Amino acid sequence: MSSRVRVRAVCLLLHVCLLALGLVKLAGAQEAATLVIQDISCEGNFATSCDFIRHQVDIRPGMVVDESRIQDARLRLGLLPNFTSVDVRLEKGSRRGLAILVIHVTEPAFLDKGFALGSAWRFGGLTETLAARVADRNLFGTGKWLSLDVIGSMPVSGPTARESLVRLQYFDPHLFGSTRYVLSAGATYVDADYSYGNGDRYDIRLSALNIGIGRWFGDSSFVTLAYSSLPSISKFDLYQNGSATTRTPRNTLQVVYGMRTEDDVNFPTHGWATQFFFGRDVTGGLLFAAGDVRGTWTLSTDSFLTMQLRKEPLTELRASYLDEPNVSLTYSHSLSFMRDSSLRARWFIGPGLAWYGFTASGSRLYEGGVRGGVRFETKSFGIVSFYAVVDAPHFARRD
Amino acid sequence: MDRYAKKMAVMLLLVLRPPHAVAARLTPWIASTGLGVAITQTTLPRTLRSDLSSGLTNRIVLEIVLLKDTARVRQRAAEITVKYDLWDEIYRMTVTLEGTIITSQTYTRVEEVMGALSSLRLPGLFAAGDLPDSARLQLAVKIVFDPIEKARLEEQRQWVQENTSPAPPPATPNVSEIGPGAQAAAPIPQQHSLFDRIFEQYAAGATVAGTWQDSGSSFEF
Repeated sequence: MSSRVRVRAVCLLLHVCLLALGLVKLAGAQEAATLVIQDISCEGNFATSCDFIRHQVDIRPGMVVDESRIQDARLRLGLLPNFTSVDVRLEKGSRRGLAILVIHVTEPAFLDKGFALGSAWRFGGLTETLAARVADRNLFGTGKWLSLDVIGSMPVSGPTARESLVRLQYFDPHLFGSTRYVLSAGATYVDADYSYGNGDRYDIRLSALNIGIGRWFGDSSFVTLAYSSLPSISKFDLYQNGSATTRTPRNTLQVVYGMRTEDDVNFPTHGWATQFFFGRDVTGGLLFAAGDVRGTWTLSTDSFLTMQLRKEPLTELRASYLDEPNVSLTYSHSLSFMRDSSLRARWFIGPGLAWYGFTASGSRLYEGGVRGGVRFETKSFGIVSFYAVVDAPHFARRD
Repeated sequence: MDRYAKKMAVMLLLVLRPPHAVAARLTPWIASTGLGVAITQTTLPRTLRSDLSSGLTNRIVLEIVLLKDTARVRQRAAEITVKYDLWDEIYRMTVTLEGTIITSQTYTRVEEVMGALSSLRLPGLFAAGDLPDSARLQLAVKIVFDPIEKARLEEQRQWVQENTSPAPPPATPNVSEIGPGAQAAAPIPQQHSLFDRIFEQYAAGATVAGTWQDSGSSFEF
């Protein structure tokens, strides 16, 4: 081999070496510029599972870090009611080019509490009612709900008006991960004993179980198919006209249609909350229908008007409305000293009308009254209400 | 008012002043490149230190306006990006003016980056020849940290609305309620206050809105 050829070969070798070195460097630079997500970890999630957070972000390990996608994920998580704030950062992975996506969330309080204390002057007597609710809206970090309601009424003077109600309710807002289907199941125990001025009385002891699957249509309408059973019931009705006209269905299949555009359950400013029930006793063939309609309008910045119509479909629910009448019109007003606070408060007052029995001649008896009180949002006790009911004229009307 | 009362009043004002009461200070200067501005005393977000080290790109948008007798005559948009390199452990800061890079620098400590952000110098904003003939010119700036585009926010809000159940429908009558006093699912009033604030900024006509912003104006020159 001539020296010229040797020089050429060395030059070529050098070129190849330089090229290889350049390629290696380029690969290193590309690796540094392109980060790949090795894992996604969560911080600050005490009640929400990391799986739920991962499901929401739409980013998976192995994906190239896309800042636009990460910002979308951060916004999306921040807009969910599950979190009050969301921060996202990257941390070093096991080797250069790999990164761990860390999602730090701050959760709101998921434990809802509510208390109500009411006094009712009805039929010449005074009855005191105490109600409480505790609800976990993120059971074991799964996003499911569990609530416990306890209501007790005791007469202080006058005719008997005693009631105890315990209700445990489970709710899954995302049945099998669906955003449309929901599941609800509950158990209720009621022990109520009432007597009225006209001599009517009823005495109920029952336990009820229910389960239902619902589907949302659009943002505000839903249809629920529910099955309700009363495993135990002891019921005594005595009406002045001698006919116990109401029959309690033991096993019912119900279709519920509802529409909710009300902006807030406790402090509504506008919208409707309506439900219509159509049911059938599967053993006896008894058909029934009922409904619940509530509409609220804003009158001015701080004042609101709520109209409510209600017909109870089932005996178990007859006595558990916290002295709410069947028909009512309620004026409510924000409390001025709470206006600058992030917590809300309102006073409310309004007339109402309720059906409670029959006369000896078979006419329906109605009770008019006024219901008023205050409702506060508190940090320690949740929603707290105090109310009073004073009944006014009683009158009969033949249907 | 005696001296003690005056002193107490001043102390009270200092204590009770809103966090944005002291706005960014602008000092205009002219050079061969044109009119520039030094922006100092910018109020930085409380989370900036951790945000800068997040490994993700931090964006800060500046809208600089030239005012003539308080009327807007020229406008420039500058953008600062800061990104922390997880392995090299350096902060890369780039300043662009109308899309053109004017400075690019690296820092090793987050304090240096924060120092640079609280004392910015933007040269050549407006060419000297383009300046209107007036003795009453003024510069004003709006600084938006972590800007979020309106369309993007709307899109994500829509996604959340479509993919979360609005509220629980009951399986049987009234099971979700026990009356007006003790109902579950009370919404948390301040839940989305951060995003609400951004929507409010856009509703008020802002062209760019973010989680934190500061503004300021120069003396007349």
